[in-house]
Amino acid sequence: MLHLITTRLLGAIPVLLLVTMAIFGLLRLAPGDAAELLLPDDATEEQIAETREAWGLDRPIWAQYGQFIGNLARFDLGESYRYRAPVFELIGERLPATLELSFYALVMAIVIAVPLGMIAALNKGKIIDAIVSVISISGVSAPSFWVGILLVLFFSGYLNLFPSSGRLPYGVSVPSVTGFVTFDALIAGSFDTFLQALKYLALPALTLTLAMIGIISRITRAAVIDAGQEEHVFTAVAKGMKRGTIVRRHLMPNAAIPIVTIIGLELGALISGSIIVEVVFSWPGIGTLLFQAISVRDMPLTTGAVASYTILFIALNLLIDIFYVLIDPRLRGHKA
Amino acid sequence: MTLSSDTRPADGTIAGQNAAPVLSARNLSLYIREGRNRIRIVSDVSFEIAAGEFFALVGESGSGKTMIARSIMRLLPASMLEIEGDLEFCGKSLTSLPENRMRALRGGAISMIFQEPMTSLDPLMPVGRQIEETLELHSDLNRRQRAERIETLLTDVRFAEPAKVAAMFPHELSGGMRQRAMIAMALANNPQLLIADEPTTALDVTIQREVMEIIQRLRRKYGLSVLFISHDLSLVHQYAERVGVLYGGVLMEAGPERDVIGRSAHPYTQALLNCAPGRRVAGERRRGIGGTVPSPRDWAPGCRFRDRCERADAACANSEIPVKDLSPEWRAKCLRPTE
Repeated sequence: MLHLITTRLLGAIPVLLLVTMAIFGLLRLAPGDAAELLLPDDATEEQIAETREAWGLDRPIWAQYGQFIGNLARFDLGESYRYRAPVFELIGERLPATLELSFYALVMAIVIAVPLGMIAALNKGKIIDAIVSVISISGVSAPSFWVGILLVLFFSGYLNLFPSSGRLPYGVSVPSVTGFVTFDALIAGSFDTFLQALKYLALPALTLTLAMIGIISRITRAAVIDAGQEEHVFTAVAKGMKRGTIVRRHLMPNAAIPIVTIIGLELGALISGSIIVEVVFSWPGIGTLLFQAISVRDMPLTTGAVASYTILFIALNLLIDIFYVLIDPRLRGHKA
Repeated sequence: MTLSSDTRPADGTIAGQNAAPVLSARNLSLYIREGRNRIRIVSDVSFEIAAGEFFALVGESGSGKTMIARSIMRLLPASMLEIEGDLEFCGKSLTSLPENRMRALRGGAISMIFQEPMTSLDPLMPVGRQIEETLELHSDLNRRQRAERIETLLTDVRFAEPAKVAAMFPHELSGGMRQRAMIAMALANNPQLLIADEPTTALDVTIQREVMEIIQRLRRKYGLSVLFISHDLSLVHQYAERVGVLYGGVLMEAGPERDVIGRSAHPYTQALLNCAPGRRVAGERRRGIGGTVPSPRDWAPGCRFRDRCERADAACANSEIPVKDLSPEWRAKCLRPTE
């Protein structure tokens, strides 16, 4: 287990280098730079040139990258051009919001999609299976920005049930312990704030959830059907076990392996989806931060935000791998 | 042992054994459901297994032997496999038994081991726990008694360190060890009938012997009846007391081992024996059986073996083939059995 964790963390280093290199290159290729975009329209050529020099934008790209890596080794991501604040701090402030949103979206997706897939598999070929199919295919087909806008129009605009942007109403705040507003509200003993926070979470989380339900429920269905055809399920029937017990004890644990795999793959979709969803719902996470950073070519902030996403993705995949080892004794046997 | 036919309805009384049979199949036909159609895969098979008897059902792949094995405990749902005719266990009909009472028999009085020891245990559950599950279902032993019983069972199948094996996962055991663990599981509740569906096919020859010896020893020790499904004639010759030969879902020949294997009358049994290694005359090339087993979809009236049979003529295609009594216990479904 320790071996798994260390190899993964070491493997993350080249990935991070490649990702940051790509960001540097891409931002350089994009027209305009931070100095042009951030200074007021009436700024003189000289002022722009001065700013470029101050931020090091006049130096060659490889020199800028070299400096970035040098700083990174000291856990310094530089200072945002736009916010004039250390990138580390900016991300630290915003990360919990992104994590909270992703957490709820993922939990909802699993809680909805896994049972849906199971029901479809256990009623294979019946009407209920077809209904689940329709739900999953619509989930897969609808892009999240569009679903997000529809949800806002209907639930915020028309029904006025849920707020369409932000994390909490203006002026409401809770002392930060975990960074998750919902958890912090419960810790602070304020159930009202907890409910309010959930209302704010509802639409963005639902948008992300809907995008994941389709694939997770399809794969769950296939996994449960496959697991049901395994010989050991026959053995369990031949032992005289009830169908329900077999499903619970033998079928689901075996089906869990492919389901966990697809959830791992869906984490990528969740992360990229969360950027769009955060922008649509003005969710104060690193997605909106990244969006703002890119639009003004804020190099340190963009790189920092993308690097956080990369680390997040690697960490989540590591969690998935650890989970595998926990459910499958075959992976535990040899001391890797 | 009876073979059914149109000329003599099977009634179970003509069995060679005097004691009440543990299992009797009478005019058993099996159908597989495919959408709205059903395909007959086993036709009118009758046989009986007496208490303590080792009965082997022999046949090529596709002869329907595994389906017969699975139909006894109704392992396949009625929506997939339809059963006609009658199956009786100790005089009680299995075909009309409600599902909950069938469940009480499965793993209790009737138990089964399968062909693939590699896949017939749940890979995610320790072996001992899998044996314990069947004890929980069919006995009222408490936790400590169950643990003791598991140790006894694993010792019975020749594990030197039963406690250690009980804690192991299937992937930590070899194929032969897994099959022994399966046998321990099957015998957990002192069954009267053990159905062994090609239990040694996936194993090395030396391990085969070991597993067969264990089955044989436990059969004697506990007075177990065994329905042994196999295509391995040398094993059948060695262990079976009575043999039924299946071809294309039809029981072609049945009787005591010394008759069916020793001096077989049916051309199909003879052809099968000719293919078996170790039975050929030195210098003579081993012969296969020309052609292939007909698919259930292509079944026509008459004898199903006639296309591959050296003795077949026009009569074999026309009529239903009668069952001939060769001795009180030995019968063949053929127009021209050798005697």
